[in-house]
Amino acid sequence: MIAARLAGVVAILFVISIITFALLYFAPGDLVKNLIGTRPVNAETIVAIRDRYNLDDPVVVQYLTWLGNALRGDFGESIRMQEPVSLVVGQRIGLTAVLCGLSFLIAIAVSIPLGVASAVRRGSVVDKAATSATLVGLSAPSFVVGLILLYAFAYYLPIFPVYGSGDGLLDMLYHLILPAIALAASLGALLMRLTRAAMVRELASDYVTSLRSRGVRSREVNRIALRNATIPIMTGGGLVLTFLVSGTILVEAVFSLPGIGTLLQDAVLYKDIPVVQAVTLLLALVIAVIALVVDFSYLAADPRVRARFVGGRP
Amino acid sequence: MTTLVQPSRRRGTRRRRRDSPGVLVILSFIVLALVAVAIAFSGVLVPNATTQDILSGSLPAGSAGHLLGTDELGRDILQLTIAGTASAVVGPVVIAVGSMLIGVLFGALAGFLRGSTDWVVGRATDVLLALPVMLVALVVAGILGSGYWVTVGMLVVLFSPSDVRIVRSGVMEQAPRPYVEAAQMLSLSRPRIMFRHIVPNVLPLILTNMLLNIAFALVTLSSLSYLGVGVQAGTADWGRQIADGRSIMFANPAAIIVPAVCIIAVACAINIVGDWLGDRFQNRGVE
Amino acid sequence: MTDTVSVSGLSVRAGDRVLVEPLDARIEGAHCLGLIGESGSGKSLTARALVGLLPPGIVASGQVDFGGNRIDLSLPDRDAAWGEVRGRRAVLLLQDPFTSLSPVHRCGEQIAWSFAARDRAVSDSSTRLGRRSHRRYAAEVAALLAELNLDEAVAQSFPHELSGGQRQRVAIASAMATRPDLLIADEPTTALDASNQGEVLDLLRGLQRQRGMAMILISHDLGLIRGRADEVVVMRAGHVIERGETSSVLSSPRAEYTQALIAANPSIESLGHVHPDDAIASTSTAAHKATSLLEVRGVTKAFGGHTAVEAVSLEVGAGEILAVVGESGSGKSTLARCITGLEMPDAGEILLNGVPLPAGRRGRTPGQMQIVFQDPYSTLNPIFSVRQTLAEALRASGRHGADSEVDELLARVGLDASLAARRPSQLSGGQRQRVSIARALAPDPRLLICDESVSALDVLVQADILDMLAALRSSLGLTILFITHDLGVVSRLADRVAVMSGGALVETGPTVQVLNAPKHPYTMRLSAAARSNSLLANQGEAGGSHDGV
Repeated sequence: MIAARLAGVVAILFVISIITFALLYFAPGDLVKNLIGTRPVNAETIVAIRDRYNLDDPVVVQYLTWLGNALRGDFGESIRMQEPVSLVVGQRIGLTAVLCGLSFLIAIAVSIPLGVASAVRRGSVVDKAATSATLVGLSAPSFVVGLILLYAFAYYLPIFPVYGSGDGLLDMLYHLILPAIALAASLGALLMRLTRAAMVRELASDYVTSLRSRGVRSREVNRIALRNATIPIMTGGGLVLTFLVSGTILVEAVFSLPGIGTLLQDAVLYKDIPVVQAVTLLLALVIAVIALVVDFSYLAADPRVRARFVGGRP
Repeated sequence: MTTLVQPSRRRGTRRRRRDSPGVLVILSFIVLALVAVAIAFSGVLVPNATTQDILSGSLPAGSAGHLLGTDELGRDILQLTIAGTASAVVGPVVIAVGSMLIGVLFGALAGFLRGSTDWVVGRATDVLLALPVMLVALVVAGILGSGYWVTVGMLVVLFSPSDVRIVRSGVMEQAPRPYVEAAQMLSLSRPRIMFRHIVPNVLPLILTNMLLNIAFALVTLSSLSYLGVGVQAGTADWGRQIADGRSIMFANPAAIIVPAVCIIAVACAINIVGDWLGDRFQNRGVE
Repeated sequence: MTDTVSVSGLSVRAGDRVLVEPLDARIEGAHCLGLIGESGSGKSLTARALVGLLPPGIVASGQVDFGGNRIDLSLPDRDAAWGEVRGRRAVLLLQDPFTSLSPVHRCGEQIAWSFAARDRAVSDSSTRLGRRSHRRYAAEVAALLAELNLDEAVAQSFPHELSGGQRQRVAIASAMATRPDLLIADEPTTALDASNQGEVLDLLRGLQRQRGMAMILISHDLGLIRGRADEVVVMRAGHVIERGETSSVLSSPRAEYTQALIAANPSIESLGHVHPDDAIASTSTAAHKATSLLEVRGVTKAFGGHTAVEAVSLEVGAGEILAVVGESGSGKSTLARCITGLEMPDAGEILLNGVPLPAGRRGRTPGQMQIVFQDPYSTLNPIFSVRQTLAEALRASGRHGADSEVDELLARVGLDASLAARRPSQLSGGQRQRVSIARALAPDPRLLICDESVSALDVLVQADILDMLAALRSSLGLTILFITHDLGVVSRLADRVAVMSGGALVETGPTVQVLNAPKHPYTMRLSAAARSNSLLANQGEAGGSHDGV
């Protein structure tokens, strides 16, 4: 079962790698010229490029060579920056990771307590306010939220920095607070919806009625119900994580942050295909790993799944 | 389970309360009606919103003849926003409807036939779902070159896996129900069982999801045009307007606030109507 | 010693609608009040009103008095208002053991929560129920499990690792742990197999007596409360129809409704009463020998390593009613599904009139056989009107599906033609089952299979539909294969019985013979359990001696 799941992930990554590799061939214009970019076109550079990308080999061999290099972290050289792609990506990845991590934490810290509170007090002011906020969060694109924050904090309330990424981790966190909030808005809205729906379902279930009739206090009952609700919340939450990737591209653009998102945007703009390939494959890998982590965290959360996996009593 | 109260009657009392739409729902319908008017009559209302050539630079809101001011090229923001409604809303509707049709076709096939069909459809959706929409759209549009309808077509494909999953699980939930098996006992043909019995019972789910998808597609499409993907420079489009308006953000905030409010208001309206319909369908009860 | 519990003027309303009319009751410690009623009688609402746990939008009024401690039932659902009552004064035990325990917590911990709630109520401190606090109660939990004949290891088990009967005993333990004055048991054994029901109920009754608690035992089944409740209240549509000492109400009911309930109770002893015409029974048995309509040969079906049906062979004679009896998991429904072709058997043959049928539905015709399912709520397409459903069935069997044909079908199952325009949600459970029988009759099938077709219905409706099936058999010459867990239903309807256990057929024979003189030990156990829960059994052995096999 575990092996099958891992094999599935590898298969998906394999398919994605083929598509990514094929980007080279999909790009309009001459392949060699695209790869040379702004460098002077002469016989020497052409030979060098053909050699570097093994363009004289059959396509399958080209792909396998490319994949082999990619697996070793070698994606070639950025056409625009004339630097190894791995280096360029390495410089940018830290910021994006911190940004995504921070906004994920913000989303969880706000949406789960709020979702629980709305479910417990259905129809109350808290519920109505939270549900309305959720609606706006779902309806406002991250870039709009980002611009609104930018406008408000640059103009009216200059307590957070609105540009730049800061030096050192603490300063970086400080600089990333606004972008992280912008990124957390839609994610938090979705998580809050999931939490509320899951908690409403759990609180209406028989075991909750039974607990309450036995005199177990509401706070304890809510805690037990939330423990049961984690399973559906995790299922939905895992699917929603790809949102972070989409969102980070936008938010980095709005706040002009030098992360993976802006790197990708620039690379697309300048047709810097090796960088595009590296970023695409990297993000697909990250998403696949996260999905895998979510799957395995079921093992911790749900004894029924654990039994099926480990093969305990039926 | 012991039913505490007769279900039919309980539903009756609830329906009266829920069926009357609240203030928000009515407001949402008004917003959607305005959107429809803006799309249908933009040719009459704002015939030269994009071609007006003032070149007088940005004017602040409240300037004479320009209620909301003008953008960095001197185009009237109100006119531009009205003209941009079509590109903001028509694409998302096409995306949601298109992905729903794909979803119904493949979801129904996978859920009902199971076996190898299910496996192939399942793996295809796995691959598509593993890719973030924005990433693919940006990469594909950037490499292949983009037009509005190419982007819309791409989003139809990228949105479809979630529809396929929803329809498939809906069908799989209905398929083992006794009423479907009774239809099998009558030796009805598979297409008849699928499209006369199962799909109509999954329809509320499909339609609600489609509405919510319109809102999500609106958000996605405007995000893409903010990044410069999907719309050519010079066309009226809310996302594009916001991107362009950044340079005069402090001179005339209306340049970004007006289209931003439009995006949020329309997406909210669609979400509210979607939720409301979803609740109504749920109450009608497909128990 | 616990106090006397007295309820005064308990009523339940939803808006303007009165769901339970004012009700008074008084229960001494160690005594048991039986609350009997069909669905919609208000018995479960009454139970929940006593602990303040009514569904949203439904309110109670009235008072309950626990030994001088008066509680107003209309108080809002808040810890502050009900903390005094719940757990310490009254506890609710729910019907379904599969949903009344948290699936992700170990059983021992769940019982410990009750102990912790009790201690907190006594000391009135607000200590948090810590993550590991249940360890403190390990000894108490173990002792309680032992009292319920459960293994010590159950404390470390998750609910999904236990059988239904074990789970319900865990639920009982968690209810008992708070030592309430009043235990309200809402259909506590309805979800269990017959052979488990009596045992669990007697265990519950024994513990309750021993601890001197008062108990309200809610049931739809008169047979189950016989000998277990001291007093009984019969409810219908929110009204008390009759009340009195259990034995006298059961032996000489005054209200017409109670009499009807008792008469309809499918009890194994009614054998022979329903078939006064011995001739039919004997001729059909003879017919079975001459022409067998359905022949099942060595049908086997496994689901992923678990063999649900193992090499079952049986025959059904033309015009005969054969009942296939077994408890849940015995494979009886899977067998039925293999016969209908809705499930592909792994091995074996199904012959109709001596001609082998294809496995699966492909190549079969509607006229060969039809099936009526158990659940009245999902048996009909919710968006089709009755007319659409029946017209489609008629057309599928080569008829026109004209209105007159639909009306005729409806008449055949005792429904008025005016119902044809309705959707399933506008029909009662019994009416839905009748429509689904009409749909099955539309192609004039030679064999009708009923898969637990009446077990989700109230007793009175159940009896009506069984009588109707018997009548249809004589008027149409229908052959019926009836799948059921209920020996009462068997004795009321079937000519012959086939008993299944663990996927295999263990005994077959004429109904009278199998029920009265079972040969296989499993059949003996089933039959004994059915008898002890039956209404007409010897009043003397009330309370029942059960050899907890």
